[in-house]
Amino acid sequence: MRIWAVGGGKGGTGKSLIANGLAMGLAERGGRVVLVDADYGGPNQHTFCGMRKPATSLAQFFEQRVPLEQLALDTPVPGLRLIPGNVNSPDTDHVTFAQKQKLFRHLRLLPADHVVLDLGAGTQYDTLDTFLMADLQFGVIVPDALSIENFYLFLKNLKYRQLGSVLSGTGLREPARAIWRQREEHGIANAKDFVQHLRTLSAAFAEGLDRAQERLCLHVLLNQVRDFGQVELGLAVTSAMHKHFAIDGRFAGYLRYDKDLWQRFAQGQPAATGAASFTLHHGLAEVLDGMPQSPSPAGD
Amino acid sequence: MDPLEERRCRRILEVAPGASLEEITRAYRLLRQLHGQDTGIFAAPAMDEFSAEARRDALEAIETAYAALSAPETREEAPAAEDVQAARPVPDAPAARPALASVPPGAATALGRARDAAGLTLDQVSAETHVRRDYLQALEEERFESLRLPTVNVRGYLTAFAGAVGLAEAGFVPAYMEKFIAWQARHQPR
Repeated sequence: MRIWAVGGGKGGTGKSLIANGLAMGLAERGGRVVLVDADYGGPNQHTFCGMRKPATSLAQFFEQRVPLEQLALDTPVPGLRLIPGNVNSPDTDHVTFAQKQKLFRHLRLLPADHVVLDLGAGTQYDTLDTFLMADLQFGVIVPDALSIENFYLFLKNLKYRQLGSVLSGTGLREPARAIWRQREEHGIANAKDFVQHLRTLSAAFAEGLDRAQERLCLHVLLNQVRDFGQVELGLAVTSAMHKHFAIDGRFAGYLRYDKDLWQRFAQGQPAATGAASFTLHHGLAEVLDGMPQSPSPAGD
Repeated sequence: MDPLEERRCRRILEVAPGASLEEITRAYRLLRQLHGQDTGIFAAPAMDEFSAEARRDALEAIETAYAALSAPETREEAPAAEDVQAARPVPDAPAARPALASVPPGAATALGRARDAAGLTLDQVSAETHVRRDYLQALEEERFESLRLPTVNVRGYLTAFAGAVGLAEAGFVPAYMEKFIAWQARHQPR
């Protein structure tokens, strides 16, 4: 089984729709897929799936320990099940790290080939941690300076969380703090120098960080492309991610802007099907076909 | 060309390990176009990561990597055994060379003299500066071939070393770095 996570910082870039479309595309290819609405701040997946009022939600897993298998509801798309987010309780935005770890453990036990997580916007630690725990990461951007700036901030925070966990794992958290405090003496001007310094200091740290970095391969998806020239921006951001943030990734492709898409929501049918939006469906199919075939981690 | 160095260059050009020279050239042209543009909105101007210096460094790394990968003579050059050794940071290098302990104090260089004057061993300096002992020793003995590190690290370690042994001479670090960079320029594959 593979767990996919869709994130990327800024709100309104199409993360939820893309998570939905990817899940649908995977189901159409014959996979058993569970889509999880983990966007605690703004769950929409039920609407994207064309479902009016889901009877249960992910909140019941956290609050009443209802098994995930019971919460995965059938959708109009064969092979695709949805664990909806909670829209009827005002206080679902407080999920602890331990709860997320538990969620992942239980997700891995689901009888499914793919689990797709819709994470929502923002760079809160819990969003970042969940993102890092997944097997496959998608970052969604749109061709404007605001979305790109927020995406970089997302990357920066992602690196910071990754670094913190490797430092804790190698017992270097305190020495690293001391070095950072005396960074001028060590000739450290920025985060990159700092990491390089720690690498030369401890082989265990270097190894741990390499492993964490190898695990992370971010697939950058450019949404709402209105003009073909904008595609270059996707390539530039992906390369900048590598050059300026030391994160490996690949440009997963782009999706054309569909000006009529808004009319397809809440019509009682899934929004990302070929019948509802040919443009979106076709774009996502190309993204999925272009995915590198790497062996599935953990599990089967 | 040193295989580790080659791998590094290929990573900078974002090409697969088996990429042909033609693919490398294509990747290089695209990267130069992407990172060379002045007004591209991908470069968030408010972020430190995209400072003029960082962008220049990224572009320079692309140029250097391409120059190294595309020059036919560097591809045929077989690395000397000791160079390969030096390029790979060996965590237990000092232990592997016990003879070093009996090497007489390094009175030959300014750093060595300052360390002697301060009455410190390399291990003590290492504990204080958090810099590995073998790097300190290479710095002291000016064995630049054992310092396969980014320039920023060499400068940082050197500054820490000089500070720890009380080498207060104002021009010391810049003069040393000049020597180091000149050595680096002579030994970098073109």
